[in-house]
Amino acid sequence: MTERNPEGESTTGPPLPVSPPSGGRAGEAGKGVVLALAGVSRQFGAVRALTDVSFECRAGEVHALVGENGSGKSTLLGIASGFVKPDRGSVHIGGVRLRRDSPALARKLGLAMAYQDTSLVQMEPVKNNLFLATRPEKRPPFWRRKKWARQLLTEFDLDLELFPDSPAGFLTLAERQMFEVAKALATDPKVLLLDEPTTALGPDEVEALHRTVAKCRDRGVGIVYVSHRLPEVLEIADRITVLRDGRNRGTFEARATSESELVELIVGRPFEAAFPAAASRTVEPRVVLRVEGLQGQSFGPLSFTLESGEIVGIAGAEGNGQPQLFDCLAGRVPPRAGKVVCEGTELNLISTHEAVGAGLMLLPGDRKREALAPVLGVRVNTTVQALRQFATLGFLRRNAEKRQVARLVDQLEIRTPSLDQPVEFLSGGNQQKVSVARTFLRKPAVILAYEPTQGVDVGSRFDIYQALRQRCDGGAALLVKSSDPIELSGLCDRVLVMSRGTIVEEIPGEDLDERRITEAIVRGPGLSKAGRSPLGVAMPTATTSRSA
Amino acid sequence: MTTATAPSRAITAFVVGSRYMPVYLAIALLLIVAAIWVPALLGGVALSAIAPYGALLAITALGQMLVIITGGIDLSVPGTLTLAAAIMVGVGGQSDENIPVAILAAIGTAALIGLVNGILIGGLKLNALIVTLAVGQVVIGVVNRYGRSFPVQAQVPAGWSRWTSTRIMGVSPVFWLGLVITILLMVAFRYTAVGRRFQVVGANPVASHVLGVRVNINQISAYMVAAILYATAGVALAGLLRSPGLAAGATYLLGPIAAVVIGGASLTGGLASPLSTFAAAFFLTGLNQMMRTIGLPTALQFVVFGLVIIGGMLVSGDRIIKAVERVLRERRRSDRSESKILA
Repeated sequence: MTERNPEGESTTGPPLPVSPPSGGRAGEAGKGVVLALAGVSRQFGAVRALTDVSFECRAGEVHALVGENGSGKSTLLGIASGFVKPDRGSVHIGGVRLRRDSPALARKLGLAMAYQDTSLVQMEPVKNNLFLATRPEKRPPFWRRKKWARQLLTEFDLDLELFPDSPAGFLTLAERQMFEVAKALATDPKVLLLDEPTTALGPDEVEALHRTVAKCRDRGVGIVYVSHRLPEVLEIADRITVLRDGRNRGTFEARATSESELVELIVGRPFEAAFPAAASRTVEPRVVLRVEGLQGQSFGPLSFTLESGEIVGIAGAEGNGQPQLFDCLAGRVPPRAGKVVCEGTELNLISTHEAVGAGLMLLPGDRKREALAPVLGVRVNTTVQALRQFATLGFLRRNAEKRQVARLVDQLEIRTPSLDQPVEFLSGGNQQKVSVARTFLRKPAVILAYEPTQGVDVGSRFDIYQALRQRCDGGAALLVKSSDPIELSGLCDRVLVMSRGTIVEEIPGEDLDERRITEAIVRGPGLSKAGRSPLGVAMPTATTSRSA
Repeated sequence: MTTATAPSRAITAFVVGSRYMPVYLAIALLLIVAAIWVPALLGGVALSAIAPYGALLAITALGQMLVIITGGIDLSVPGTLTLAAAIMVGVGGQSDENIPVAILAAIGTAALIGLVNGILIGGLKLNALIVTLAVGQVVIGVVNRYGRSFPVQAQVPAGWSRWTSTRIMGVSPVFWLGLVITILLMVAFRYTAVGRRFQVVGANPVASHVLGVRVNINQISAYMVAAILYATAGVALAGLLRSPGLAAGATYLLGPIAAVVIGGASLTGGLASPLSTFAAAFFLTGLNQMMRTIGLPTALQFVVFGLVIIGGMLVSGDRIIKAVERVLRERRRSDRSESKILA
């Protein structure tokens, strides 16, 4: 099946399983192809985000792109829209090759993108935002922009209660998402990229959006629709391409495929990662953390308990309240309501100092910003939370400190030339190990690990799993948020699935495998009403349908 | 799992220390130039004349350094310093019995100014540049009003000016005061838990907050201790000048910042060395003195001083460390590609 790549590069990749790019010159062949990527590869540091991916979107079709978090969807969109430069391979928009990695050029060639994180001028009215987003030659006279805006919004059947005069910042999350689409359409594109357009939308709004998408398709626009929600994808898409680990796993006619087939393809990689065995529990399990009716900005209410000596996973698609839950438990953002009891003491949840003191330690996902002092050394970073252990009357016993850190560096295999190496010069994996090493000194009752292996090389991953498992065997309870189902199924004793900010499912240890987790995620409903409302207040109807 | 390609411990120490090097090179250069052009400057008399003023700059620079470690900046130095000097005159009332009270009053008032700065910046998260400039303005207003409450020619208590002009081991006690403060800060950073936490807060306040360190309190105390140091300098300056007047501290706005920067501190916070800040203060004082001895016109002195500070920024701190890092990374990359070839 392997065809010689027209660009003459990179023919070593494995064969594409189904429908490789149509032969000949990628841009011209296949009549009506508005977007064609041929043999695109891209590497970020040690991570291969995309490997020899070919993808095409025809005029007048909705081509869905599905895959797990981190499968390369965003990189693919980035390359198509000119934001990311591919290491090799070519991009053709409307038959013309995108010669530079320039978003402006891509736009000029007829590509439009609706962004996931909205790009609005908050204080300006909707009409002005729309006006700004439009290319100068397509703009109406300035004084007629209100009428023009209203016309445009109704033309695309954007079922919005939009007032062209209200500031864009007043729109709800869902409305903003719709507005992003409108903005993209205002440029009259040949191809439209939608990046997770329904994350913030409820069922009615999804339907409205799909009506708009269908309308665009009928006008001959090619639409690339990225989503992880299979039911929606199957409803709207004509063709579906599956990405996994940065490779194209095949393109399918939507009518000829089914949800379970797709799940198989999204998940179906050989089991590569190794995990430390869940030791037979040596500690008498007792409840160390009890969370009751906790509710915050974009999650809750939710309740769960953690026992000593267990690792509990938090699964769910991005944007379902997981980071907010972790921040709240760590005392960074106070909750609206609810109660958290750690080791018998009820927490006020207004201070990180209090949380750490009570035995709750957060290992943040954004290590450089939130976990480490990058310019300071390994030793200083490791002991910052445990200085009291090394101090007599406020003076540090530096030798004791050095010995302890050296022992931890050994134990966790932190690769550093010296104990005083600034951590900014360490690799991601070693940085995370420094962060984990703190829990060995302070020995907290509860460890909250947010994406503990994000940006960590494969070699270090096992060390980190092992270290976390050791803490757990030492009597700590761990809450691990991860977007990688393999990691969750390998590391955790049970997994809680979050959706719409609440726990919708608990997968017990005996049922735990990545397929089960992925299924729970892709079948899950969207974000809660609370998350979508600009005030963050749940509408009265939101909670009646589902009680977790 | 081998550590064969890892750079040695010595290189690490070099990289970490490299940011503090330029100031010592600059001092060496200054000494060479002085030895050639104005050898008189290196004589005992000239040096002991410079020493107290260098120490004054060093003390204020150390205060500024504490603030800069937290990622802030303090422009209320002239106001605080002048107020402390004025209090030595006003509260001192030209009577030696009042010296301890005057010193305590000066330092207490400064601590209050620092507290206001600290609460506005560390607590309410206002912009340090503007807040300290505004607070400094208020303080200068207070000084002007306060300065009219006693005669223009009023002097500090005679005992105080006598003490500042005595010699301990041939040098003014002000110099030794500066040295002691420098050593105290060095010890605090190296050997105490408080100093360590303070550095971490400066290097990354967001992470420190996540880790449960009280960021606000650290930032507020930085401004307070800094203000106390400015007041210390002001009190000593009053003794040296006898009749400090209401513009005594005016020259201490740019000088301390320049000393901190040339001393290799990171303006984004977290990294600074008391010793090299001390050295930088003496470098700047020495440079100033040399220009005067050579007989440069005052206008030109200002120009040269400003240019030296810009030059200092070009070759110090963050830029040095970035250059060293780049060199190391290149090396590591070539190491890696070599090992790949071998594999």
